[in-house]
Amino acid sequence: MSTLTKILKPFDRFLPEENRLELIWLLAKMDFSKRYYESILGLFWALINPLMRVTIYYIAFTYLIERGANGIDNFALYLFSGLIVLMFFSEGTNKALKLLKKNSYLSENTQFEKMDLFVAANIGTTLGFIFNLIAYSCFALILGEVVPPTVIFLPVLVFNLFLLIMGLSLILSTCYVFFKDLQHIWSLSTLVMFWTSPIFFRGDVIAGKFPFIPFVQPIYGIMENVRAVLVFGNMPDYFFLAYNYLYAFAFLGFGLWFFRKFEHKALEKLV
Amino acid sequence: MESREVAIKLDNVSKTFNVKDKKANSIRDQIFGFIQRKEKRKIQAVKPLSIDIKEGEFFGIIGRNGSGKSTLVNLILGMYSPDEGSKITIKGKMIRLALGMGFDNQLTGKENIYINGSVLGLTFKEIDGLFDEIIAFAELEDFVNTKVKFYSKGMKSRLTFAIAMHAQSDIFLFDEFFGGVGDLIFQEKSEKMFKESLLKGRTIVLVSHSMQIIKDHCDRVLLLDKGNPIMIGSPDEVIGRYRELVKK
Repeated sequence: MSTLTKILKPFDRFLPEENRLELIWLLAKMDFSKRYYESILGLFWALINPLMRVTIYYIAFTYLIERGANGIDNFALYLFSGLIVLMFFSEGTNKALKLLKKNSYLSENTQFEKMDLFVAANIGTTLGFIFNLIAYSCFALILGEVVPPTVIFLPVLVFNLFLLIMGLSLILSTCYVFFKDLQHIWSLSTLVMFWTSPIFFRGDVIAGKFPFIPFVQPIYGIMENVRAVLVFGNMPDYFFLAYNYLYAFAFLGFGLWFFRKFEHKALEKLV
Repeated sequence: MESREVAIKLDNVSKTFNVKDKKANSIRDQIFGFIQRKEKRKIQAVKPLSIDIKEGEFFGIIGRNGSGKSTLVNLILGMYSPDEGSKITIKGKMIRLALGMGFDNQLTGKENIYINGSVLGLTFKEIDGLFDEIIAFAELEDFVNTKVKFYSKGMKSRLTFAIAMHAQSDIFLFDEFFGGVGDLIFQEKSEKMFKESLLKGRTIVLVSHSMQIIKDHCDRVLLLDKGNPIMIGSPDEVIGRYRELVKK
């Protein structure tokens, strides 16, 4: 048994004894634990990974590139919070690519709702994000900062991300069965998203140069809002909150339709 | 025999594959394929077929390699969508048993039992209750927390069989499953299990090349040849016909 399964065990009792929910929860746990299963440090990586990344970027942007911080307060926390949002997004969507293929061991032999695989995978990614948040809080404490009370808005933003990733996952996973090169295209898209997100720069610097980006780039607004409530103790920007929910629902709606339409063709190709 | 309800109803079911001689897997290939418009060949792997398989029936499917047996199983399982005009009605939960399939190699035996049991509709509590029995039946007491990737083929098929036997699946699709399940002792045990508990009200579809198994167990047998349903009848009749067909 992995450490994670032990940690999450107490939560099992809150689960209603309902087969479908149990299956989703089980797949979600396995999804998360598999990522760190093989390594000696195991779950520790879940905490170390974001810390190391932040350290690297921090050194690069404060020492190597002068004036990189652009006068941002708490640049390290700024970096950290942006980075974990991006990691949430890129992990979730990149994992989704091969989701149908990886789980064909189940769909080939039994019948069940394939949508559950996506819900489970996304819950797995969310668990990862929660671990990253824990790492963030520790990091903040070390720097002598406390997580502000506005953090209660965070679940609303996380749910927004969840819906967005869910919608994209349905589309990506179905398409990947037919176009294997989607993998390369998507990793490039993630790179674009990395540089168009306010991770290293202030949001208004990016928006000043390219005013359309906050509206087109799916995680720009969410990242800004996460940072507002998590780092600076501000209220979220309500316009972007609404806009991003609409954006996510649009993807989710299209994703559901798309998946239902091509699900069978995709499964057939997997046999 | 009292009239039983129909578990699997196939009504005019057929399946046609569009076969392209070169697989287009990338966007480039898809675009070129579209421009050149290469003729796709159509192959009807299963020709229109209507059968009612009753609850509790033991139904066999035989035929040479490539006669459409597995395609038919995939259709029943819902992995393939049938041609237009086909109608498939299924009553109950289904599982396919094929050799060395159905496990996530990265996970342990225990975890796989829970996932598979859950997919088959068991709650965690029910799996907790059945767990020791499943492990004992599969003879895997020493490998509960071993990753399935370290299992041998025999161990895997024993576990598949054990899970399927203990789960509340209504319909079992055995796809060339026997003949490879464990050693003689395990085969005897499976045989016993087969006769004692499985036959109680479960519907079984058995695809096999072993005429002995077909003869011993099946109520009715379907013979397929190049996708054509040749005949449905008692094992002796159909096996006789199959032998004639092979001789030609």
